[in-house]
Amino acid sequence: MTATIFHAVRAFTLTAAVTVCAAGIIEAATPVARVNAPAPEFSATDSDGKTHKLSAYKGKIVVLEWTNNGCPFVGKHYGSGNMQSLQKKYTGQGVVWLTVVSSAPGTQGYVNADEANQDTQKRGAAPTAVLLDPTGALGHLYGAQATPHMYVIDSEGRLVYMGAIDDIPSADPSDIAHAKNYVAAAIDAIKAGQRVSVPATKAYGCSVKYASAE
Amino acid sequence: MLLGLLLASGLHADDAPDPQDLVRARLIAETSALQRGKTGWLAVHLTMKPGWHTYWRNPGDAGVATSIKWTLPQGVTAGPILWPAPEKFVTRTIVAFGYPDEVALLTAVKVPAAFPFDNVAIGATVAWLACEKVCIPGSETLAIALPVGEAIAPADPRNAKVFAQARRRIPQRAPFKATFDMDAEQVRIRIPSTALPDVARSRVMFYPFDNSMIEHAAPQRVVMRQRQIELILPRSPAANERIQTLDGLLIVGHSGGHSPRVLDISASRAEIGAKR
Repeated sequence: MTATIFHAVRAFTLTAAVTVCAAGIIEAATPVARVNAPAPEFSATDSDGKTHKLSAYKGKIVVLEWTNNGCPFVGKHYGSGNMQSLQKKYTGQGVVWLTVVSSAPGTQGYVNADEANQDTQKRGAAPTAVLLDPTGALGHLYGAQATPHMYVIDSEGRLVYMGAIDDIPSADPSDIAHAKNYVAAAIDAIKAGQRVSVPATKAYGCSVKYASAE
Repeated sequence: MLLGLLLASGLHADDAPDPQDLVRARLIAETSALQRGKTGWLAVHLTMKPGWHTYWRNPGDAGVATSIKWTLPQGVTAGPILWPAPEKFVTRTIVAFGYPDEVALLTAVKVPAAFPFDNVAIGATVAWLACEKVCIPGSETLAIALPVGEAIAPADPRNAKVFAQARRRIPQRAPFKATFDMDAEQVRIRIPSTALPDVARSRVMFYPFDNSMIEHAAPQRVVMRQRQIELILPRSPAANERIQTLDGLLIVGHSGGHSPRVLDISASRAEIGAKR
């Protein structure tokens, strides 16, 4: 059943690609991730060399958090302790929290495995794992554009939220106290068996520092 | 790496660029005084270090719009920013709308007819994000003091060039009506064909004011129909389904290779009918 739906998503992507060709414009492919659809399957390696497959987390809520340790918007949420609190609170409730680094080697935020682990320790972060994505494959699959860019996947593997961490697009940590946190709202809603009231927003932050060539 | 960690933890390293070196901010007036009961013009003039840019009202897929918080004496009011047309920077799947080099953000300021003082002091706290390959936020509190009188205030010759250039870059209101509709996949804007004769079809683009409406990096299709030009824009999943007005800029390229016309449009929602 899941496989069938997955194919349907693929078919959509193919259609989009054909439309692009017909218009005579060569552009990057449309990301596969769509809200309220099955989250695209991936397999990625973390900073301890362990492989994480999304499908292996069926039955659990999964959060994807795109990060870049030099980005001031990431700094807003780590410098204030906001991101760490969210990670601690929700991993404590059984949520799988995957921090993703898609910065290409030589760009801001790129870290090797040791550096990723040092970051986690230095900032007192508590993700389940830090996924290393230097080729940007995972980032492009989900259409991650900014850091932080947040995704919430429910226990059935459906993408139920994608977008900003909260509703105040700024680099100022003093805004966190009066912002509405979309990630917390989405997780709390699905845990309560409710619909996610805001399933997609525009992420804000630094652009993801992808490799410029394919 | 170390710098990254320091920034991430909210500290500043010695070798981090100073935001004020990347963007120089000034608060200037078009006239050498303000007139009671009339509107005068101020501008926050930002000059960017080569290679760096600041952002338009819709920053695109990353970045943040420049903001101005005014500090005004009682009765004095400031209007919204008149944003000049931005440049579109595309890095594969990520689009930014912003200003390289320099930008003047014009704002109308009105002093009431019964303003009791002969001088007015106006403050502006300007916050911006400057990006090159990396992004550095900056902010500065600027101030200006101007005499207030009854007479028409003379232009300040020192600022004439900046204001004249800025006014040329502010998009004109489109002299025609546009409509739009949307479904789960697309946002479609329709404008009368007669409104834009001599349009090169590959060169009509829409930059929305709201940054959550469309996929900025996706190709925009232009369909020439008998009576209408239709722009087909891939809808963003974050788009608000219920909007009744879609505001933004229409960038219209002409076949001759002149610089494009930029029009400010406000499209009203209208479902597609049989009339095309």
